[in-house]
Amino acid sequence: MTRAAALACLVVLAWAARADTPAPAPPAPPSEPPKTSAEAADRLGLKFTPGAELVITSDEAEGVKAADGRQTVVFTKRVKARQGDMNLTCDWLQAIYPPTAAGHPDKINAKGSVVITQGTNQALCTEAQVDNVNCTAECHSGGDQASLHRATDDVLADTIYFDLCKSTVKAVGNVSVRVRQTDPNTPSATPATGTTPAPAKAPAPAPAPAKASGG
Amino acid sequence: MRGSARPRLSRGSMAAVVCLSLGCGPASDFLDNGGPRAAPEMPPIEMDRVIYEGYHGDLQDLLVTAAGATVDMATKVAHLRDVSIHFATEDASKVEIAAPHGQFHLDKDDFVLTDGVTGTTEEGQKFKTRAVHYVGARRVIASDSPVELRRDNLVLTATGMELEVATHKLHLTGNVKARVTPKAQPQ
Repeated sequence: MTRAAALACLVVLAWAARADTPAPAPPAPPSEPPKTSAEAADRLGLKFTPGAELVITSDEAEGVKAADGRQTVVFTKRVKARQGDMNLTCDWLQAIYPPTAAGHPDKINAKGSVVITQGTNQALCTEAQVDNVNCTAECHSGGDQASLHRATDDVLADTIYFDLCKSTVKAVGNVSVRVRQTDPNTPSATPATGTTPAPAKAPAPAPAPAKASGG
Repeated sequence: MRGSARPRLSRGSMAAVVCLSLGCGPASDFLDNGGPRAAPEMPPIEMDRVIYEGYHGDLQDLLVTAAGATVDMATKVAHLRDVSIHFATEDASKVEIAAPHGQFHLDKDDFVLTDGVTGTTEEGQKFKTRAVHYVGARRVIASDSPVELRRDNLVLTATGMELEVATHKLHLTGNVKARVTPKAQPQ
């Protein structure tokens, strides 16, 4: 084989190997604050991890079989629930199981200092209901407002609804969305990956509701 | 036992039961001079294939079976071997518990099961723990040992439990953990 032919073979092999490897992930978009409430809400969504084990811990629990055959277990004192990367803490949690088999609870009702966390998203309220059949959850706080936080973005509303399959959020009643720009001189806690540097931003204004909607 | 408890024993142990009932009577024998005399101490009584039925009114609410028993007449405690206890509940469902060893207090409705207790309910719920005690007055099965309950793919663990037999109300105490493992998808 001549030197030119060998070089050609190497080039062909290298090209073929490159074609087999998956394309590199596109660079992450620059970290910019959401411009609309819908965009903020999309970023603030919570999502179930299908097939993940559900673990609930507490200091006490009480199981009761209702007249309709449904088994309920009420967990009290230092209640924590975890499924995948979603965590919930509260003072009181009721898991309602289907009548035919225990398995995964159909519904979960949580009360008292409810905090739902997934990644950097955190929802806070005094009462929450999770419907595992319809893949939804709602968070409300009686007379106060439920809130949803992610880094510098906040959503406050009377009730916040989550679609846990589509990872979407709907805030209803006295909604306010607060977007605070980060100080470019402050190092980010979670730096963006990728090669594109985040653009420099203007100095951060005082936190203020960026947009209010709903009702 | 609660209500009109009626012990029903196997033929081989009938004679022993007669002795047992005599032994349970008060020591009211007197000497010629009128002074009390110590009752003769009864030796332990051995029984085989023990069956004990407990009734609440006309309703049988308890059935105890054991492969054998040794009755200590001094303490009025029957030490049961390979014991199984069936409870009838208000909704006609059944709770059953079993253990290698048990202690049945003849003058109470209470008993203790030890050395590895397993239990089942009609809903298919199973539990296991090291020991349980039954409080007859409250119809409660309680355990101060770590307990594990299983139903379908739900596993509950705790450091103690109390089960109301009549209502199936279950109270778990200490480090409660519920795990729901995802079911395997059919291929």
